Amino acid sequence: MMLYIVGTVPFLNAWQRSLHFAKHGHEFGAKNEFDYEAMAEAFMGAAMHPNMHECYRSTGTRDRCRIDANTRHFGVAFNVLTVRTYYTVTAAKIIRHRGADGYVQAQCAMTR
Amino acid sequence: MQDPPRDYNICECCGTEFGNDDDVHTHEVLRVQWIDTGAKWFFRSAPVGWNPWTQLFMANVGALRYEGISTLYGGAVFETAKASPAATVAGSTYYGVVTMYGGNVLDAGTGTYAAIVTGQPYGAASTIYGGYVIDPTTNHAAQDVLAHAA
Repeated sequence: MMLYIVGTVPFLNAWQRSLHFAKHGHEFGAKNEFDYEAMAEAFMGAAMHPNMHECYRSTGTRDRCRIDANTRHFGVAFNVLTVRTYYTVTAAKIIRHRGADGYVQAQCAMTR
Repeated sequence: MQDPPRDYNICECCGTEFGNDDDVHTHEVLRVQWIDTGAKWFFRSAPVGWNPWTQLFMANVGALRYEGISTLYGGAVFETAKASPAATVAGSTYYGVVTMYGGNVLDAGTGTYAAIVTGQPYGAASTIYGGYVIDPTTNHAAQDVLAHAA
């Protein structure tokens, strides 16, 4: 069983946090970038459930990708402790990948 | 970009997130979408003197698509077969444009010339696929090309 340490999953740096907040903050109704980061952290550290799909990329730092099929929220972290991204996947993309699990598996198979 | 275009890094210029936005669309499609929505700087303030059309031209990304309906939005119009400028229109009706590359603007929708930017057809053998005409001072459309259709 993997133990995630909530409270230690920030973005890599303030630049990344600001950029990702600018891009995705509105998708979550985040008040500011810190609020957004806290949401990302909570998501990446949340307990698994039947509709939460997770996998690891085989390349580089073995990013951990997860998606909640209920909300279409998607996040990526590496080295357990650092968030790369956190966004809401469009329904169209989910359909294109034949489901949330297909989407996250495709992300894990990505080599770039 | 400050960070390489991969691993969910986001371009501060166009806002593309690599690994997310290019999961479905090619970079060419994303570029066209960015242009069609005004080619605005995405994150914080653009660098002083930044001009999207100059950047696109300098990046040599190929002919910029013209969706021509009624209004043509800025940038460089250039002749794809030649590297040299076809015309410089500073002082013409395209006020404020410093350097313009190209001549005829082909309406991709109709296949006919929408405008002749130099006032004369450019090189009989040339085919111009382009483009975007901009007033770099205002970043607004410099001309309604249908008003000047050939």
